[in-house]
Amino acid sequence: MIAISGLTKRYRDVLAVDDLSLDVPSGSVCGLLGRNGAGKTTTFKCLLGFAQAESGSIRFDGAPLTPQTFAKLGYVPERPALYTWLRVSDHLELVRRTQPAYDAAYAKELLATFRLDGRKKAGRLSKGQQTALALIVALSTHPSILLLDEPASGLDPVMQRVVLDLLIEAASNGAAILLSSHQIGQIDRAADRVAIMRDGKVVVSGELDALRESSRVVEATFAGAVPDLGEMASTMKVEQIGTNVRIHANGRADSVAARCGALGAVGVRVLDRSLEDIFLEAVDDGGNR
Amino acid sequence: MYYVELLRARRVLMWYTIIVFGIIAIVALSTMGQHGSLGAADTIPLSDIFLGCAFGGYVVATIVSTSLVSESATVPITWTRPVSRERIAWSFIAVDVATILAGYLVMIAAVLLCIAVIGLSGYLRAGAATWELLLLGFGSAVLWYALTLAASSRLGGHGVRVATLSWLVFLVIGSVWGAPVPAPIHALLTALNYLNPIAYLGGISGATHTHTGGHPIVLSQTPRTLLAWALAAVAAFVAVRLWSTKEA
Repeated sequence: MIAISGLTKRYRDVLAVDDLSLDVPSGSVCGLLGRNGAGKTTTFKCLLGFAQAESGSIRFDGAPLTPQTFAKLGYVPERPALYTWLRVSDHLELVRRTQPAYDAAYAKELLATFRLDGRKKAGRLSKGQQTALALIVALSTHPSILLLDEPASGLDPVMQRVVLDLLIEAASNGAAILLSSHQIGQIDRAADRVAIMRDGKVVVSGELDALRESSRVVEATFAGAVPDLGEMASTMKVEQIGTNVRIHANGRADSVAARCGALGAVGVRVLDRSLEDIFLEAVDDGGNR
Repeated sequence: MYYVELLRARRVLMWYTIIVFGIIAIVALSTMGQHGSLGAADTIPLSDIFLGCAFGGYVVATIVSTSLVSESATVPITWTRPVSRERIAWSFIAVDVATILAGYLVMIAAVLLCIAVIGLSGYLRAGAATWELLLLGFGSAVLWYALTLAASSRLGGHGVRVATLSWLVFLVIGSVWGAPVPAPIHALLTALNYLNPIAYLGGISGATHTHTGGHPIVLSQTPRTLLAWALAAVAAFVAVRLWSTKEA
């Protein structure tokens, strides 16, 4: 389990991460979303000890980060950081020598899955192949904690699907996975919970199904003028265009729909919202950027 | 983690040895058929060879001194091993020091081979403390390495620039010491030369191994050897501390 509480990181006068709290239970994939500069990579750096947090606590399976944590932690950075002058097989040899849990058979299987030639130098691999090698390095020890910063960038759609399947499999085997991606479809497919960051803060977080449920929208059409919506107008976000209203129902879609019907709506629809809708609404800053 | 540094060192030593012996081969070929001779009383002091061959150690020291800063690009691998950063750094340093020793010995072997090819082996002479000079030559190369390592360890890159700059700095500090400058500047240059690996090799009599005067380091052979190694150790500690506590 990954438990982050009150994490704050400042670079000079820039507050990169602001009082971030997040739990990723074992067996769960948490998608970390946010625009560029939202603080996702800095969060990863703080988690890994690459950057010193100003305040807050980070615990892996209840314990703070120590060198021994890395025996059960796998990390894939945003940009593959490989020894370009070393061969693929040298990278795996390095993992074998330093990670007690290295599974050579599994690494070989992954090499075949990603169609990587062990004799090739890392510097001669394509970006997608480098990402694949970084994934193999991270996954070949069956880590119980996985931190993945854009793990599928540069991979073709087939390989992206393979990566997501591997992550889902790892989570089903009990791994706690924190996955950052700009490709919302990937998060939608692999994650069971999400955290959306804006300006260093987590502005939305929770289980994906619950978020979807709570973000359903009721669309009602009235024959004439829209009647007084009562407490709905004051407690929920309401958009009105002519005789149509869209009410963001905050998890009460069914009761809001019934209320609209009672107010004389001639048509009422309950709309499910995609993760993309949820994301866009969460990061909407009124066009300030 | 030393595995990566072993591979790096192997590559450095391979190219270094090829180049050194390539040069020796050229020298040997150019003198083929000529039999060298010196005057009856003349000898070739082994001590001078040991001190001069420190140059080879400096070359290798310069190259491997970028080892820690080179790891900045691969921190996601280097710092995610279940080993403390300090231990990683010390394992790199251990491999690098062994590489410097190998580079130093390769240079000595190459020069001795060249002397043998020219036919001057019979003129080689070793004094009582000659072998101790190996420690001084090696120590000064390790001092070069450790100082450059410390200077670059906090950086996120540009290790090669720092290593290249080290030659300029050490050569300039050493060469301007004798210039006619005001006393305070002369004192400053003298102090700086105690951090100049090249200065440790000058001003020693090949015969007596005592300080000969007219040189910034006024120590005889044993104390200056100890001082070079002590400063190298301090610089290495500083490098490890800076590298292991930096932010990536």
